[in-house]
Amino acid sequence: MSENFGDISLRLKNIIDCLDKNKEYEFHFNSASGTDVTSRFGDLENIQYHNDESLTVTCIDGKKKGVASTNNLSGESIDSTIKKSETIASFLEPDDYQGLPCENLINELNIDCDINFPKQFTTDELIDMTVECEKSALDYDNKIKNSEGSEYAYSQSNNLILNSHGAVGSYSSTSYTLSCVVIAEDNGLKERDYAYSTRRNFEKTDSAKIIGELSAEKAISRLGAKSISTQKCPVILTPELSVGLFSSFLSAINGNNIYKKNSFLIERLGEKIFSDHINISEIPIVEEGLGTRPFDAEGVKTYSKQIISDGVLDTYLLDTYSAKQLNLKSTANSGYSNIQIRSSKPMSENLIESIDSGVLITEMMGSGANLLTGDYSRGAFGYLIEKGKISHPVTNFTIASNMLDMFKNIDEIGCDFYGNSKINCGSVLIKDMTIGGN
Amino acid sequence: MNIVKDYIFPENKLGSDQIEAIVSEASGSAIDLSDVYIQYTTVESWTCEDGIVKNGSQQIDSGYGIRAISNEKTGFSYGNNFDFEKIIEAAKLSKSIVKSNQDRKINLKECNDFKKLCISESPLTSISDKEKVDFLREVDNYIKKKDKRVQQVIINLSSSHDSVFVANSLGKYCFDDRPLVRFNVMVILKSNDRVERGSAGGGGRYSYSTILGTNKPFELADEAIRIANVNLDSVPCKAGNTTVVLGSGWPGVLLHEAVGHGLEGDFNRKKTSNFSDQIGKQVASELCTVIDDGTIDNRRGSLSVDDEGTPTAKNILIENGILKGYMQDLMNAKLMNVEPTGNGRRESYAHLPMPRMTNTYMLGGSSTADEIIDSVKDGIYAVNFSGGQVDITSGQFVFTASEAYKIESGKVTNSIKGMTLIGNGPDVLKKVSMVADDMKLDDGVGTCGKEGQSVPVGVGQPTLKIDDITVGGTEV
Repeated sequence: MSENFGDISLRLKNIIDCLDKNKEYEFHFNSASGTDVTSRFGDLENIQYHNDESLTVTCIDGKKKGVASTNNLSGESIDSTIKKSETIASFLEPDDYQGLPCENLINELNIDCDINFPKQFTTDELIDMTVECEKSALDYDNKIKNSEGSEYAYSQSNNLILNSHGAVGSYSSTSYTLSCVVIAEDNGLKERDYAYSTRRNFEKTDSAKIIGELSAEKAISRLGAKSISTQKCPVILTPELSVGLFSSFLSAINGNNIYKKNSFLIERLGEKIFSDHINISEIPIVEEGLGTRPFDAEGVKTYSKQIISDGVLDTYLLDTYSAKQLNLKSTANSGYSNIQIRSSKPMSENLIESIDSGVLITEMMGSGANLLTGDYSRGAFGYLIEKGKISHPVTNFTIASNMLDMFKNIDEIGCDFYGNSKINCGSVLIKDMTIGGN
Repeated sequence: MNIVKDYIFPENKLGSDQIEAIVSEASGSAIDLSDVYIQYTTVESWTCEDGIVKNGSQQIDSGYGIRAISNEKTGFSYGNNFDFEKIIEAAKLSKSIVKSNQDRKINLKECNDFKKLCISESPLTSISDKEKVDFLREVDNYIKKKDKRVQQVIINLSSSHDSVFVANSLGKYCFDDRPLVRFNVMVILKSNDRVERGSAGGGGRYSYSTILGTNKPFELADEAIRIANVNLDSVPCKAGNTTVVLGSGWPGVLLHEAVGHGLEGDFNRKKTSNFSDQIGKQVASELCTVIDDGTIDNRRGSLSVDDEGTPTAKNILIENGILKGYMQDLMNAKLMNVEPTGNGRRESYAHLPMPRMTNTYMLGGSSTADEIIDSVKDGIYAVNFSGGQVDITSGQFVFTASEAYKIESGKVTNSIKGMTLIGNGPDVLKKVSMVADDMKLDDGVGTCGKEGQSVPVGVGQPTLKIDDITVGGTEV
């Protein structure tokens, strides 16, 4: 794998060793290359070749932090980027909490954590794959009248970090996504929907046929959506939307939002945030995991931890800076890795059956999750549930609550785990939300 | 100075012969259009938090993108190694979408027939770094003196300077320089047990001196405090259908989402938009005239030329409720057999151009804002929004208000929290029943996202009334 980094780790190591010992330095090098192919109506529409690299230099000089980055990796450009980070630092004001991590640092290059699966396809193979994916959607039903095509996206990324306290780490990863977007039409009304599969290993992505058919099925099922009356009722969020709700939770316990007091979860450590049956953990190294990483964005070694135990908040997610602000220790969470959401209740495959009257939400729109107050109000699309069965699609309504109430009101979590995200969870049943409709 | 012309080209020994060779390499008998985009961008950002100017950063990004189009097919590759042979390789990759192709030699001519809408100089170097830091301290002190309930203040000053070069197989090339300044204030106020946030910002295509040293930053600081203060007294919002009055200026973001995206040429060529095949038809109330104008001096959404080298224009999208035209880039204009409108934009050299908005706004009408409020018995007055989204196929859009009030018997009363508006773009436009004479553009804060690409935009509108729209909130 070392060819992915070329001689860059050695070059940067030599540079960092010669810099002013009275200052702290961090080098972060990223490179990525890949291909995107889109086909529409049976023919290639778009082919894109990616190739990016960038170096970010952080300099901390007497509690003052300057950051500069460049995508030109010539010796001259690297020198001037280091100088720029020093100059910026010199103009800033001292901040007692600044400093690079010096404990639990990574010290291994080219770490293999089962997330790098390079595979070469010819352009013709990729065109065939996307054409097949779209065709299985177009052939699915004659209500599929239009298409935005099927897209294959591949990227291979390399991530290298060094700091002047001795952190040295690098790893490579791959990502494959195959998707399809189609439009169903009936009685002059149009509905768009999509399906996709993202994996580290191409062999594990859903087949072109499955993705195409699912996109068609989803678009068709939206046709004939009716309005819904304003009411309070139970809602089920699909696994994809549950991921969104839990990612709002993870933002709210991010140390940088906590110390800035920009979160509805400040001063809540050790308190019950979710109902008793909910457990949330972070597992940094999962084979083929979309979030897998041996060290965080600051070069601190990642480790497994419980975030929510039986509904209680065990920890915030802290990087070095926010940890110092809060007088705590870094949890290797400059960013987060794989997150697992589980219930200690039986996790059923079908949450709909237990609902007498409610709504299955399949799409949410707008940015209505307020991290400061926890207020939640978003536009939604879904399906009315009557007597344990889907009755018909519903549109043009909003769902609202406060996230604290939503978390406590999660009655059940399904076992229909979502594979396209580093947050792994199933559908979620929230027993009471406000529907705003007619 | 244009850094592409004065630094990238000489540094990498790229003269007019080499550029012509690159464009020619990406062209040919089977290629309808090819272009080369070269960019050098510097971005800086300074942040004051906890009373300390603690974060400063600068990014430099440069590279080239080469595109080749054949009918509805596009090939694209980019890179940041300016070695001539590497660029030629990229051009070959882009052209690989066609199997058989005869060589074509492209001769390039500089095209200068556009009006410069802003200065060329970089804001980054227009004042010293020390002045930027001192300025942030001054605003921070001002806010803390002004209100004792302030719990957190975050002030950001940032700017960028973009030097671009674009040459295409039509035989044209041009250079452009694009400065952009942005200033933002966020405050969190705490009173008794409640905390609320308020933020305000502004910016445009000018140098720091246009805002630093003026009263504007302090006005924006006052505005952020005012919004947080209003929200401290807010009551829950009642869900259901109601009449909504939208304030002037930034609420135009609703127009951007609800109508603007659906009028972009690519969606209409593919007939995936709710507005497909609607030209000449009534798509809005006759009170509505909607314009996209990239030619307003110094505005955030303005450009002298778009990213394909087409001069920007003032385009009428909807006139008195009738759909007049779509926004186009070169590819979609050609495929739809219409003229390009100067809306071909891209986030950077590493992204493909597509039809995008510039500054999108609705013209003023004949009512006054007071008359509009007076006419509402029971409804909502929404003056600030935090963001929105649209599904251009169904026309469905969603908006979240960051400042809104109840209207009771023609009077603006309590502020309300957590309000979301949901509707269908064309439906809502048909329900516009009053339009005021107070058209205003926003302060220069908008960023529009489409297919993963972000570009700066402007929005604007007069105060207007929408009869019957769905509002989300926690109260039934």
